[in-house]
Amino acid sequence: MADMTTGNGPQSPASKPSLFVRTAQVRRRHQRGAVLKYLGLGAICLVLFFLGVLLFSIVSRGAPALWQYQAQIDLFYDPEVLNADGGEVTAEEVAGVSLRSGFERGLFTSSLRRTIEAAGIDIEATVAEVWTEDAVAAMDAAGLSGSAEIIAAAGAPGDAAGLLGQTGNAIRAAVTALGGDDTEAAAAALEALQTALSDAGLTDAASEIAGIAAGASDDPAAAVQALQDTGYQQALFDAASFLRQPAQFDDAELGSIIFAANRRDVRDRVVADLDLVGTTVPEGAPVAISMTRYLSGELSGENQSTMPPGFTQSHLALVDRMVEVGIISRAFNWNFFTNLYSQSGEIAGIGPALMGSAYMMLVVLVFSLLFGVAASIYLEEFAPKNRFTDFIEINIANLAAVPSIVFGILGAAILFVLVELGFGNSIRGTALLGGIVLSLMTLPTIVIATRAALKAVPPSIRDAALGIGASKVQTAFHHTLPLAAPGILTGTIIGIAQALGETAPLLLIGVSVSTGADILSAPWNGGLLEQTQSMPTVVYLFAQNEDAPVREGLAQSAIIVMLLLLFALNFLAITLRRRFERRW
Amino acid sequence: MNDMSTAQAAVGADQIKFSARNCQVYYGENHAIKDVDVDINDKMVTAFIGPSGCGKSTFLRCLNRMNDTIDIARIEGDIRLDGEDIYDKRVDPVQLRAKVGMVFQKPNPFPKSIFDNVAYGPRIHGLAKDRAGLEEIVETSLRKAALWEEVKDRLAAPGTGLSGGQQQRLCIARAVATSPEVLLMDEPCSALDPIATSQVEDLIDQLREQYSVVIVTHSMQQASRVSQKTAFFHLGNLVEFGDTSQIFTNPKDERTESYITGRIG
Repeated sequence: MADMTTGNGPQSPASKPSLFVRTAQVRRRHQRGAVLKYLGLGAICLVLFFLGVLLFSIVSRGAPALWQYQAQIDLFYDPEVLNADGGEVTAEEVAGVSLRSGFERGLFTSSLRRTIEAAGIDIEATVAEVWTEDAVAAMDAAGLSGSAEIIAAAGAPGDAAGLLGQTGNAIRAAVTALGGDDTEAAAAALEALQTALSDAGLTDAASEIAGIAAGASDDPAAAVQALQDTGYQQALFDAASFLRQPAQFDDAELGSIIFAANRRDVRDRVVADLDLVGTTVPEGAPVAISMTRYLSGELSGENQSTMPPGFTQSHLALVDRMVEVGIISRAFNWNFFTNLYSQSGEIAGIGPALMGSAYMMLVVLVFSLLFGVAASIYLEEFAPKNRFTDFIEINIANLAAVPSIVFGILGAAILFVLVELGFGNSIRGTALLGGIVLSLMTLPTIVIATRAALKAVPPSIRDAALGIGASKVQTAFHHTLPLAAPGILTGTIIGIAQALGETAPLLLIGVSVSTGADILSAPWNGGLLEQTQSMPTVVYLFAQNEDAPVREGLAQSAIIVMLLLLFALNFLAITLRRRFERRW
Repeated sequence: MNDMSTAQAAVGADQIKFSARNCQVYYGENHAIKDVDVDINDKMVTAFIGPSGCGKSTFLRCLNRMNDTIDIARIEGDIRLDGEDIYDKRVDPVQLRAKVGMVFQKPNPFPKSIFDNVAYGPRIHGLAKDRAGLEEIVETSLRKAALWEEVKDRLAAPGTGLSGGQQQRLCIARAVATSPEVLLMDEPCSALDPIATSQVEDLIDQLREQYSVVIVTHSMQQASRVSQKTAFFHLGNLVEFGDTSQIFTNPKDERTESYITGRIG
């Protein structure tokens, strides 16, 4: 309310306005203030809203993808697969066993079948039940009552399928006959149809056909229409085809539920320990990634459009039973952080990417901190103020605004020259090259932050040091630099965090195409000169994957990891600043 | 005190520490100091007084080449310390500043411990052979600055945690720790309260026994209390320079008279 007095100030003392009455001017000022306040508030709300949307969209997809559905299989190291000749088992022999036919089919799929059966699930029956239910549902939908009993009475699903198929054929024959000129043949076909329906036990349908048959001679076209309107033919054929399904459920179908391709780890384990042959050891295998979309409830599997690609109702029924008995369970996917990159989302990981990013940060830290701080101290403490240093200063600011892809082009150009010189391929896509390119990008940020930090040190400290006979170098290193250190550190961490998230320059120097990158060696063992990946490029690769769960799950998971790293770095920066900040 | 000052002035008159002749200072285009000739005696307090912007601080900063740190500053003329031209090419300004210590207007202790504040100068100039020697220098310096009794139990405490007056005395201790021959003080009491001011003034009077002290001050009372010689600056000119008692009782120049009687400034 102190404003009010000033608002009333210009008024002439003669009018003696009360302090409790707001003049028009005061009201206008309050209005303007309120508008500004609510605009600001609105802007902040908008920003928070978008931030919320962003975080929600990433976390809601990425976080569940970090929990993986795994099938716990009692893996039987089958001597017949691993030691086909029956003699003494040797490491070479095991190492020669094919990963696909030997380990994936021979061990995993058959062990899966055994595990499921040991858990008391009858695979054939479970699968048959699904199709019978579907057949019954199809017939019930068409109004064919008593279908369940009919199918049960027929015995084996195949027999029931035959019976229903024949009945369906009879309907089709009747329709064909009605369409022809021969009325007697049509009448016979309708007769045969009624018999077939009654024989099948569909008495209600038989009597309905009888009604249609009565008017068929007068108006065959109407009879055809009536027959088609019943929908019996399609229902019977659908039911028959459902009932024929179980016969197709073989090892390949069963094996497709889990992902057991390229289990080098299992082969290596057997090679290392031949005593495993003939034993049974529990082993986890990830559930096929498109199946996880059903398990997570994303796809209901109720009809063709919501069916996980490559699967049928029978798979879903079996998977449901496996979940019930606990063979399939959901667990945090720690392997995501250590596995190599892969096209297959089940085993894809960010191990090399995490290491590659860490190594690049290391290179960036060394290069940009060293050169950035050196440049800043020179410019701030020693350089004469003339046109040349002004020019440098302006261009450092310009450099900070250069799009990162330009630095990538520069890196690519350097790489090109190195290839010409003959050792380019050894540096393409390595953490060293990536780090150097990112350092160039980070350098201006660090120079600007460092200079700001050096400028913020009060001149009185420099005067004090110079006044007692410290040289410029002593002043800079004993006083100015230590006092500016928190600011420099903060700037550096923010620069590094920025570099951590940078994709574009890395795409151009071959980091994105090194999909086969292995876990890196220690930096002192040449890890900096190995093909590597980085977090942002691996996100880029995941986002281009053909499987939706990778595109919309793992990519976000990797983003979450990256964001957590960034938040951790920023938190560190803030903590350091709070901890070491000095006030004068 | 005036009697004593006159006596001291008589003793120190032939011991000229600093002599400036025809000294000019330019800040870019601005001619800040014009034709200043002054002799500063050893073991004596010389006060520079004058209105704001008259150039007294600028001239003070010429005496230890602190103006070198200002890019646009240009100094002409002849300033000699013990007969040696301090602007000679062979002179290292850093070496000069070790001999000519400085205390600034605002207390500016380093954000370090009290001990390290005082020990910094001796350390970088290699004045102490070992830790014990350094501790001795620190104690002596703090005693000279009349601060020892107050801080001897907390030498490891940060210097910035002291009160304003204590901080300024710490800065004085820091300046005397490098064993300078001259102490320049740029309005050392302007940021202090009257009690701290009086403590610092007493201190200056004691320091006179060992050092040549040059003090810039806005306060004419202070100049008359602590100094034996006074120089009055006005608009970059040295208007009058003489014994303090003479300047304040019998100024020769009418500008000086106007200033000390409060008509200008």
